[in-house]
Amino acid sequence: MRVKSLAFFGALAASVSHELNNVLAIINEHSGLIDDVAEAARHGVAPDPDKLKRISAKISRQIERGKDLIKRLNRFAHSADREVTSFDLNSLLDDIANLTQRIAGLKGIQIVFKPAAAPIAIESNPFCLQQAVFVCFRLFLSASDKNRLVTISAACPPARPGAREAVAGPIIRLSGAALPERSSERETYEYLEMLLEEINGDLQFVSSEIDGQSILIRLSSASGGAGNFSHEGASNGQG
Amino acid sequence: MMEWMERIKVLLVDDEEELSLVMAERLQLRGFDAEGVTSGEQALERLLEKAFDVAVIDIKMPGIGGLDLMKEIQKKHPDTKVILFTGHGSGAEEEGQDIEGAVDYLVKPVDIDDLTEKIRLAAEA
Repeated sequence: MRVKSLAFFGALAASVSHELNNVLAIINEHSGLIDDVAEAARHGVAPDPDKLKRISAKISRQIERGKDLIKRLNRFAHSADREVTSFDLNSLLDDIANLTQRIAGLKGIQIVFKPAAAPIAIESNPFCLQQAVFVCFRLFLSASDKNRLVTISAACPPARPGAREAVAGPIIRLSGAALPERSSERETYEYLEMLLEEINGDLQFVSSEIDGQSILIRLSSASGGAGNFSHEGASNGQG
Repeated sequence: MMEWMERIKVLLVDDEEELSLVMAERLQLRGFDAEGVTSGEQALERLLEKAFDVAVIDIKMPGIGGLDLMKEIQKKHPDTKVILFTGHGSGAEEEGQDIEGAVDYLVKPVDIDDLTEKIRLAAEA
C-alpha cells in the first residue's frame, strides 16, 4: 500500500511539475518578447503600448495559473500530514479533479467537477480519499476513448430533523463512458477496495444508459472513519 | 539578433496554444517563416498544405503524441527535420524516451538563441 501511495504521489507531482514548467515557459517567452520589442525600439521601431499591455496581461494570467497550481499542490502535499482530519469534501474533490486534469488531458479526456451547492464538512483521511478518487479516474481513463468526459460530483443526503437512525454519509459519484473489466484490472480494483476500507466507505458500481458507468463512493457517517459530516462550518484543515 | 535570415519554414507544435503562438512570433521577428499549431492532428493537416523545413514538437501532447507525430512526419514528409522539446527538466534522454530520428531536442523553457541555432542547423542537415 505504501508503494502504491508513493506512486500516486509521484504521478500527481510529475504531472503538476510538467504543467508548472509550461507556465514558466510561457512567461519566459513573453518576457523575451518584451526584450524583442525593446531591441526593436533601439533600432527605431516605436513600441506599441497596446501590444505591451497585451503581453503584460498574458504574463499576469500565467502567474495566476501558476499560483493556483501551487496552492492546490500544497494542499495536496499537506493532506498526508494527518491520518484523520476535518475538511470540505467539495474543496478536496475540486483539487484532485484539477490536479488530475493534465493526466486525463493527455488521453484526450476531460474531467468535470460538479460541486455540491454547499460545503460538505467531513472528518476522514484526506490522502486516502484522494487516492481512491484518483484510482477511479485511472480506471475510467484506462477504458475510455478520447473526447469523453469523466464527471465527479458530491452530494450530501439532507439530515432529517429528529431522526434516530444514523444519517447516511456523503456520496461521491464518478461517471464516465466505460470501466475496464475487473479481470483486466483486478489489482487496481482490489486496491480501491482497500482504500475504501481505510476510510470506512462503501463502493458501488452502477450502469445506466444516460450516465454510462458510475462509481459511487459512500462515506460512512460512523465516528472514527469518514463520519461526522455537516453542510455547514466546513473547514479545509489541510492548510 | 534581429538581422535578416533565410526564410526557413518552421512549424511549432505544442498543446499550450499561448506558447506555440508566442514562440512563432519570436521566430518571425528573427526572420523565420514560423507558424504555431496546438496538436499533432493540426500539424499533419498543415504539413499537407505547406512544406516545412523544420518541425519543433512537444513530446507530451493529447491525441497524437510528439513521438508518434515525429514518426508520421518521417514517413510522409521526410524532408522536414524534427526537433523535440520536452517539459521535463531531466530531458528526454534521461527519461528513456525513444527520440531516435529527431535532429535535436530541447528542454522547456527554451533559450530563443539556442532554439534558432538548432533550427538553423536542422534546416542545413
